Amino acid sequence: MDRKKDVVRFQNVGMRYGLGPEVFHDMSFGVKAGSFRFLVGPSGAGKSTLLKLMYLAHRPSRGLIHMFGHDTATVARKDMPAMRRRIGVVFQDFRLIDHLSALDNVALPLRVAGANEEQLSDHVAELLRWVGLENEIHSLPSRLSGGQQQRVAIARAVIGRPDLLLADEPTGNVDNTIAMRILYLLEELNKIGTTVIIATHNEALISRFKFPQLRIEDGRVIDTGAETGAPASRTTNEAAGRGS
Amino acid sequence: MKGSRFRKLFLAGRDLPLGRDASSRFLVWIIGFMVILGSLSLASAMLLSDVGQGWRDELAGKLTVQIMPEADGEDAATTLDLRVRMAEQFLVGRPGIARVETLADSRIAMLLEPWLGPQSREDALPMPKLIDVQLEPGSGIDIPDLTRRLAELIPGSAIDDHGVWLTRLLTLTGAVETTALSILGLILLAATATVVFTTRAGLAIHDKEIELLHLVGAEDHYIAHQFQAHALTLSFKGGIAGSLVAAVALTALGFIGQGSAIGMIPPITLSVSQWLVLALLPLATSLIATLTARLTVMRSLARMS
Repeated sequence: MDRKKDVVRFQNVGMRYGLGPEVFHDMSFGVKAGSFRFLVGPSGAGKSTLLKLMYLAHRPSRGLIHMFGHDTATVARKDMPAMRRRIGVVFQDFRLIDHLSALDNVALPLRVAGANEEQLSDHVAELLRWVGLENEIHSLPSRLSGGQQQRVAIARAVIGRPDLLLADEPTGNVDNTIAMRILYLLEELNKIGTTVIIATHNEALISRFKFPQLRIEDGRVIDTGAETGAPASRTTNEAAGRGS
Repeated sequence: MKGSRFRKLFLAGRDLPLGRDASSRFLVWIIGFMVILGSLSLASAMLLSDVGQGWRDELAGKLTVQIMPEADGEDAATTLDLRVRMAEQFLVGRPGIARVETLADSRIAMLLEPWLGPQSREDALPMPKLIDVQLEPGSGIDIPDLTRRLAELIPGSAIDDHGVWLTRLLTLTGAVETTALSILGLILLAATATVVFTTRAGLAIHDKEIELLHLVGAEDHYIAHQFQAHALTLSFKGGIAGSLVAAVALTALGFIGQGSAIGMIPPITLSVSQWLVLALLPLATSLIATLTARLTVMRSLARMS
């Protein structure tokens, strides 16, 4: 594996919360730039924890995590924001800010990065139109349905064109049509170079979008893409058959 | 570009709903009350400083010669006048003495009236004669020697250079002035502590939103900016309101004091420059609150993760 091109690399990573048992141990795998992976495993296997380690919300109990080629243990605190801006996250519980409109929630990553306010509004509104929320641009999250909130969360995660997109059950609250649309959006992002990792239980999605999997079994990760030598994205035939 | 800078300076704070916190709503009131108290303390200190300076200016380089009446009877007044003239002759033209003026009886009675009442004008009491002596600046005159020689010439005479009681009065006013400034310092300290607690409460209340901001790539100073903009807004509102109340109170005191100003106590009126100093207090409070909020957030966030 070419380590220089690994967006994510775990080496013997173990994780426990407090004094509890290890959620997983000796986890070693790498995800190359431009890959698309489904993160699968039984409930409680540690999918969300694994994502949290990737989006730098937690530090591992042991082992090394390299993100974009940098050892996260040695990254200076002042450099963390820049690294986090390269990562888009769709949280399982959306984590929208209650008092901000859909537009302001989606604009958050651009705003914290110091983007120009004038350009920001047009860009965000366009993305919200794309996810079907053109009539809810100024709505507060409390006025949106679960599925609409999820689409706002997805828009927020992709607005900054991240190098790595991590999504925790991004289709959990939407119908199949919207779920497919979201996956196509993520696939388009993947095509322009964004590495995508999606934690999901949605078997229909997994079988339809035959991307390689990071499968958590017995506290370890098995990368089906690495095992089979599968390409980062789906085969041409699969891609051609989508949306039909 | 200018709009963006304006937003960064004054409109930051939208991401975190800090205005909804009960603790931050109280901050306006607390800052307001503290600015009222601080303004009154500062005004007191400035007025006392003025009083002390006034006394110094008025009494510096002055002596008062007192000739006590010695004899009763018909010729007592004549004798006293004679002794006063002798004292005047002794003093006039001496090196270091610029002016000698004997106070008229009516003037002495007026000075004593606040303590003795109108009867002091009716010759019911034997009144001393007072001679006001103005010294030349930097005369370096030997007061004890002058006193001794005058007493030899005119028994029953005394010289008061005001030094003893002026020193005591100035020490007293200085102590009160220091106390007033200390109270102002304590008020500012309390205001600072209030902002620290309010900011920490805000950090605790909004920890989820703050974590989210961090996860989407916000730097600490972006988050700190929201708190400091919020603190600036609240403290400025409270400070201006407090200043207005204090100004009304001081103006009212000035009007009341005008009618009752007596003797050495001057009326309670502030100069334009003193009003300007008072006007700086809410600005200083806002600045302190802003910096305090920023430092509190930056230190707290640095301790996280």
